[in-house]
Amino acid sequence: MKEKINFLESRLYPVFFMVILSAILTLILAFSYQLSKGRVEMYQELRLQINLLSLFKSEIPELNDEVIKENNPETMNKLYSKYLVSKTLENRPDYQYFEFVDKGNTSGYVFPVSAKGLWSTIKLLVAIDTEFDKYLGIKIIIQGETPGLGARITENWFQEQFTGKGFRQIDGFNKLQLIEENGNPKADQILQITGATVSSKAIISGIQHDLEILYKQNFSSAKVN
Amino acid sequence: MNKKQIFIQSAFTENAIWTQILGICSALAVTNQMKNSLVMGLGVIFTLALSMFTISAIRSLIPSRVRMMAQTFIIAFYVILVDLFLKAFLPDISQELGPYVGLIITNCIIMGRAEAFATKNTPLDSMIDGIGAGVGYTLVLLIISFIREIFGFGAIFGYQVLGNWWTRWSIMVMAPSAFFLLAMLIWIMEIRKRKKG
Repeated sequence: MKEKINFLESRLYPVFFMVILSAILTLILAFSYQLSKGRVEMYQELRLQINLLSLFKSEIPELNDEVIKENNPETMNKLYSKYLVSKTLENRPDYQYFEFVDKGNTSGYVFPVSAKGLWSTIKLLVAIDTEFDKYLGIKIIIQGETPGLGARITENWFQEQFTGKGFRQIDGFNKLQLIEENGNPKADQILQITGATVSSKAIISGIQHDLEILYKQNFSSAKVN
Repeated sequence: MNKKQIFIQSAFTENAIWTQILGICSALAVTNQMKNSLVMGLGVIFTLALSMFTISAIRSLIPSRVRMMAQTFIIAFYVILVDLFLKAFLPDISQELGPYVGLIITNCIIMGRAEAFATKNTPLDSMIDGIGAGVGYTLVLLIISFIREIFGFGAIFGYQVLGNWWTRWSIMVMAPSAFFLLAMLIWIMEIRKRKKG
């Protein structure tokens, strides 16, 4: 007993204690991480698949709001392998993008794009036709903007506005403009979110910046030649 | 003190936010929507309950020189567990709360209760004290977020209760409103205390 008390008071004991405590806690965490890893990855994969597929909702007859809501991994996986192909760029092998293939023809691309918002880096998927003429849709994946203001960029009406808007013109790139939320948008105009001009602007400039680079570097030559 | 008294004391009479002004960073950050406040509150209650229990259970073994380090470690351990759980089972909420869950580690209430109570009391009492402090914290979050959400969005828990005629107060959605509301709440509670005392 005497020895034990001495050890508890020795200079070495705090070190010993922390080592043991770290070992136990880290072991439990590592174990829980391993246990949940499969589920977490499955959800991430599923979320990506749903986001990609919902960009082409109108072209996929098997997909409707109910199927999306059901969230069934098997159905989504099946649809994903039927309609989407994952690719990488020649000059950027770490950049993954997707091709939408319907009946053997590629009819659109999906590119992950990032934009600098007010508080956060916004990540989104942008679908565009193979000629880069017009947007087929956008889908915000990750954002950390002000809830209730900037975070409203995730609302459907805001994202759906991009569908059908022009990206490329004969003499260059089309610039989208923002107008007030309850205005009447023309062909090149997007309704912005009231009180969140920075986030709305960020989406537009982020998409245009990234897509212009992608087009110039990777997709324009194929078209010109 | 019996268990009920411990609970009432740590949740109300010595509420961490309005009497000790602890944990106000997150009270300011997540209170513009009630749903986020509730999940944040539940995360804090869970972390408080289990970390207080653990800290108290091994209190005689924790060397006093490294006790803060050990306490932080135990708190962080439970927070990571909460984070993993949300990611694996409630991915939507996890996505919505984003970095806030990790920030539970820095919530001063947890460290405060560990130092003030768990290091001196039995595991069960400490756990009840932790739950009480967590409930008190959640209550304040819900009061503030109720006011902010109803004025800022015309909604409660995301359900629109005020119609389109309602002009949303943008200030309520932004961080500054939480400063005013929290200050007013502390003011009201202080007046009550003085009247009683």
